[in-house]
Amino acid sequence: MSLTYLTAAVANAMVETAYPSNTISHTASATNGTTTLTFTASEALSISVGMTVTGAGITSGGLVVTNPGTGVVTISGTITTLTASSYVFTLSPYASLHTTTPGNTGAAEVSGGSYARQTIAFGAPASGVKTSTTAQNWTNMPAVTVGYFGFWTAVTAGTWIGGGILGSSLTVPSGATVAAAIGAITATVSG
Amino acid sequence: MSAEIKAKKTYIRDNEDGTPFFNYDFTDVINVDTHAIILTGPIQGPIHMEDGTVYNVTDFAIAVKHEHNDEVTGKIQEAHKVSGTFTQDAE
Repeated sequence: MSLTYLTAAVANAMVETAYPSNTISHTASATNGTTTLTFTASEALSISVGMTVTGAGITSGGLVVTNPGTGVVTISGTITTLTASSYVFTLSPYASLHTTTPGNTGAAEVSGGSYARQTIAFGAPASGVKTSTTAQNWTNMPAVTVGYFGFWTAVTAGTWIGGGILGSSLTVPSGATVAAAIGAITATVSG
Repeated sequence: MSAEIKAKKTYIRDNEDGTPFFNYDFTDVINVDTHAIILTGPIQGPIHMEDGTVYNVTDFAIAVKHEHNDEVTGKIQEAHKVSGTFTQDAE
């Protein structure tokens, strides 16, 4: 099932929630000690696990580790005291390639050769679609057929953000370079 | 001059939006030491390189010479801006 009849504003809000903007700033509403920050529930929806966070009281390594969507966001890192002030959340997604459906976990990612996830950035959503604004180069690929792509919070391990099916599949020989042109990868929401 | 290297293109099924889903097989078609594979995105038609080489980026994926890789992706970006299908800046 996919939602088709949405206003552009609603569609944009949905895709922004699923694939958050690269940088978001929210002001915490309360002093929270050393591990949690409180925001409004709608603000918390735009914060995802794996985002890095900077702001008052975080001296290094701020990372969102849980975000239950209730407005309380748990942070890890070297922290003195978190305060009711502005915090900046940054998501630096990495694009992956998959041989079969990655499902909800990022399964079936390509491995072998020099394959590694590549950095990717998106523009603001338009008509429910976020479009890549950077090119990707996967070099020295293994011999493989690729039909799916995905997004992660880190170049290795990290947190699975989401993914989808390519418009067609690609069978590449060992050692090949596969590049995605700017605008070739889009993020939309369906369910 | 055209620099077309055709992948083995096999129809698999239709996508949910009705567009055809193909498999593009570049095995035994390209020399990986000289050519890269580019996923082109929605831009269609010919892209002209500074040295006169022309690539048709209509297909989902095309093979280009390694030395043209960055130029092709750059020209595709320019084409997005000119066509108005792509006016977003990175956030």
